[in-house]
Amino acid sequence: MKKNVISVTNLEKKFSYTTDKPNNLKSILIQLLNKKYKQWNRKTITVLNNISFDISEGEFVGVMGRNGAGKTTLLCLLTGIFRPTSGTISIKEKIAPMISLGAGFNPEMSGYENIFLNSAILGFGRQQVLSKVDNIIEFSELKDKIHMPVKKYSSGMTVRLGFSIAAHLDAKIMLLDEIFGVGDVGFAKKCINKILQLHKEKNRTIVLINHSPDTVAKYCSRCIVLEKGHKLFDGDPKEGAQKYRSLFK
Amino acid sequence: MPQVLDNLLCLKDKFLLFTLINRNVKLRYRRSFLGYLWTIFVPLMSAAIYFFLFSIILKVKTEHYSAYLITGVLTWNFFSVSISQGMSSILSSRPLLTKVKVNIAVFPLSTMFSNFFTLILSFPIIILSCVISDVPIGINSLFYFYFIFILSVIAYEIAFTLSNALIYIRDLQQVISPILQIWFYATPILYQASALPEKYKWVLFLNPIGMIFDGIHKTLLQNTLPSFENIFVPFVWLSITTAMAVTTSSKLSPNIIEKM
Repeated sequence: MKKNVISVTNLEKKFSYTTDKPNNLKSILIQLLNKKYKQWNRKTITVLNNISFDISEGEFVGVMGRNGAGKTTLLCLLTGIFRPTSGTISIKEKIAPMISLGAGFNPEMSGYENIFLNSAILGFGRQQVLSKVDNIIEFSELKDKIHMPVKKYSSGMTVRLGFSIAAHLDAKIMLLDEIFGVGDVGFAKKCINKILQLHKEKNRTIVLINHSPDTVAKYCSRCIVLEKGHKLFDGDPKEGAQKYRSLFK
Repeated sequence: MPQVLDNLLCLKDKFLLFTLINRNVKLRYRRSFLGYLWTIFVPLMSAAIYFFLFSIILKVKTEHYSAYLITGVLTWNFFSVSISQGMSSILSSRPLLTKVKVNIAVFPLSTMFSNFFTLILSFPIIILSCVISDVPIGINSLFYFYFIFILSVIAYEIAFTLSNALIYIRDLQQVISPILQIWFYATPILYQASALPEKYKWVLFLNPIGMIFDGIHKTLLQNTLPSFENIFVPFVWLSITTAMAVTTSSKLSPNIIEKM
């Protein structure tokens, strides 16, 4: 029996917002006087509803679904950025999120300095970064450009560095949000191989959001399909890919 | 240690805190010719203006007035910049916070520490000004460090509370500068607390840092022991700001990112 690293039970996430609520005092006062405030309707949208699943160590889970099905929200909930409206999430190992690569980069600082900043933001310690910094630079293929300020980087260079950092730090769980469009074809392939290598050799648990049913069918060991905030399918990736395709028919 | 204090002091995020302080310090004067000298230069210039205004035009007769001004203005500068920069520090890290789970307290805390670093760099100026204007520096002057410590904790806790509140009330960004201006004049920096008329003495107690600055005057510049009020009143305020920060951390902070 493999141990569970992520377990989600009856997860529900709602966002609330108000329509036509004025955002400054003057118009609030005017509307209060006119008794228009009843029209500010507070609306809630349910982004995720009654989602439950367990992911055990070493699984490679692909998450698919239409735009707005709640995939990224699910990932944000797993990383702990959002708190669930109801239900529970328990995470047993350290997470490396790759939701947006290079999110914490400071444009004024060099790539080298940003390796330390970004790793610190992802929650790793100094020793671990020091021991990995050479591998990170090598993998990113930035060579001596690593000492250039990040604002001079091309977008491809930035994501390459971002990916290298997140991939080299020892997190047992990796969350990837549509990152296979990283860089050119050569680097994208290198990224997939790196992730597969981490998955196989180090038994990392990987949750991947992807829009390509072929990629999911090819690499993942399991597939979850979301539709309008519900879990539509959970199981074999080939079947899941079929299910995902059938959403568009 | 309770979770809230753990979060507030960023005990689990020491490396991140250190890296952020390093970033703030490095970036502030990157590509400027005078670099770090500016941090000391600008408050010194305002001290010079006050000196000209009060000592030369208005002919205020205070002994060692230039030393009072330089110590007061540099210390106040640390306090006010920690608050105003710290307040916007969470909001300005928004692109990051919506992507990665980070303890938000590191942003105001690192801002406070990097300004504290600036204050340390201006210690030589403070000491020099004391020596030049013949201030009797003695063992009591060491109390300065005690007051600085209380002052930085209060600065951080206020900055933390405001940085959370700013997410809900964006008006704070506009309100903070007039408030700091009033606060500056309500604090014994340009004058000594003893010069306050009796009917305005309450200002010293109501101002969280009033007694701290009075204590700095008494110990660093007059080489006397601080009074009971100088020690006790800041402590009362310290517990109030701590209560504020703890409430903020447990009530406001968990929902901040969704409200951004």
